[in-house]
Amino acid sequence: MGNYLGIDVGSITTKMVVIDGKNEILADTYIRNNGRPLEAIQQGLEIISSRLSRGSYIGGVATTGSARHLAAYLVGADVVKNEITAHSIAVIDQFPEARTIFEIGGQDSKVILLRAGVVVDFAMNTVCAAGTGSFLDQQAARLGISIEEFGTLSLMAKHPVRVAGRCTVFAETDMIHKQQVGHSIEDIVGGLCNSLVKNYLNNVCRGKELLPPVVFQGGVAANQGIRKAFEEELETGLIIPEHFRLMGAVGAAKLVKRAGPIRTQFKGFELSQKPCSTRGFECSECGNQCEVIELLIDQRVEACWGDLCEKYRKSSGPGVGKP
Amino acid sequence: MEEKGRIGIPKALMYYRYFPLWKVFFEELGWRVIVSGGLGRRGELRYLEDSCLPMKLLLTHCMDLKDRADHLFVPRLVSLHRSFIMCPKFRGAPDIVRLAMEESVSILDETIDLRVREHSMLRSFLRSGQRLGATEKEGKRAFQRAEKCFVSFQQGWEDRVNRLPSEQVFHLAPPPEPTETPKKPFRVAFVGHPYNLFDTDVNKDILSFAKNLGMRIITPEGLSEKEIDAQVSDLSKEIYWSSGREIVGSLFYFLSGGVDGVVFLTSFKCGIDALLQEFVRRRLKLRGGTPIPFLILSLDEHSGREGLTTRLEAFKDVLEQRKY
Repeated sequence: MGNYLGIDVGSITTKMVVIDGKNEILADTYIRNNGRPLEAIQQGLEIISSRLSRGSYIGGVATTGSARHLAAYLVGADVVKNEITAHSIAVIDQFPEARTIFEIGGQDSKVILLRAGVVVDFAMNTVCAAGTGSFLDQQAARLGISIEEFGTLSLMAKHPVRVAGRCTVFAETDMIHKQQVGHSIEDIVGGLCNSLVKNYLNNVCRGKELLPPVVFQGGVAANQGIRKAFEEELETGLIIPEHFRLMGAVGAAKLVKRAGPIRTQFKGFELSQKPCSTRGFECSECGNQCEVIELLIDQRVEACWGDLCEKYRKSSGPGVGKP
Repeated sequence: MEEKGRIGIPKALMYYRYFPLWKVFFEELGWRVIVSGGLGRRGELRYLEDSCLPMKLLLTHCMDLKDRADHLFVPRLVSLHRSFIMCPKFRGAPDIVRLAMEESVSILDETIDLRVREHSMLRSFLRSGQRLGATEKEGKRAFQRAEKCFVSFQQGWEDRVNRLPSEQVFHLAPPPEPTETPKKPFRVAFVGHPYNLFDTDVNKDILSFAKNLGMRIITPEGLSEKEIDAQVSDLSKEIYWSSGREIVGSLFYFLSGGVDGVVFLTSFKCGIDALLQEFVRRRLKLRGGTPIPFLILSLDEHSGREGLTTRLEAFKDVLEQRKY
């Protein structure tokens, strides 16, 4: 019986999980990308392999998240799945009675509606990133507090101020204004949490029927201020899964376990020791002017993508056109 | 017949519905029709004001044509329905183009307003013909021929959309025979303004992506006015934009059955779409939701298509879960 590796490469963080045949988590990791997803994936693989017991066999790999294709090319994935499906799979197995999932990550926020254990509707934030993790990060940095303190601080708010939550640019201006007229940091942070929650409910969840039980996951679920604001606004408790930050990766791992590949495409944990890089060029053969990307592992072109006509994709090495 | 000159037709806006009609008309009068190129991946948008993406594309396409064509065809579309009107931007389109071109090219901008007899499709084209030196008789004959071609073009519509690569959908050649019938595809209705549905510079060729996911594309083009009217007749307030009415009518037509899923493609900056979305959401809420999966995709100027493909992939997973 093999183990399964799920990799979720988001815009801000990379999450990895290895589960065994009984869905028990054997190893996991959560690291920041710092804008370099390839390095983050390699680093993640190294950590995972050090946490796994010797001789653990990986029977399949699945990738998800906004860099799922890049990750799939790099590690050799058997399943590549969008994050909406991955997140819902993780929840359905763990909380079959759940009817709403809030997932707020680094740059995306989504709502997924479940009825009788099946996804019936979903929505993601559109052009606006207000209310996502990266904005909270940015504001915490501006106020000189760590993102971990952010949540506790907002719980101490006595009179949360009103902050424009529609747009991050306005929110920031508004917060600076409040700070300059003398409101306490706790009240400002508390107000920000409230307004982000309102923004999320009014934008992402607009027109959706939000029924309890509600599961809240993604990196932002760590923020107690946001949790409290949600609970007050919805007048219902939230279920925060134990591995709320890893749910995408858990879902991916479950998906590949379900798919049960006969022979995995996984390139092995040794990948973390090999030099990996990408390089891009603009193809000038037709009007499309595709930006083609080449993935190099050990100085060898292992995969190519970005070409609409798939000319390069097909000509670059055996077995790479897979994902 | 010797060639009289070149008529440039920008590949934007209502090109994505009427191009075959326009092309045949001008060709019948002895003019050569040239069409602007695509924006391409690296294309640069040319515009005067921060308008909606489809309008910006109109200017970009006109710029591309202005040195190659004797006349640009940018009709003033006031109304394409006997009682409803188009978005005001359509009415001003020829003026915006003229301003951007700095009067460097002649623009055929005859008004089409189907609410008024004087501005019927035929009369508008007769006037365009006159400006090109054609007699009324020649104009009439060309228009009849064009209409005939247009009708036969529309007949193979669904096959055309599903079997041809996106850039060839509006070519006049008949669609190819089916190569193979894939295992039962999902029938998915794509609803929106024609240019949102078919302009690959607007939608990042989402239809091809949908086809690759195993969807058969159904569009509102085939619906009759009666079928649309039946869906919007009980509204508390009349939707007076013809396109908006058509979109809402066809959305609810498809949401009442016959397809596996419905996708509404909207333009981020479009005022009509913004109101329609809210309108549709409220109506659905009143009805207690929809039995058919429904997805709203917002199109903007993002260069990547990741956001669109992720949502469409997830939508397909929803359809799959329902079916099995």
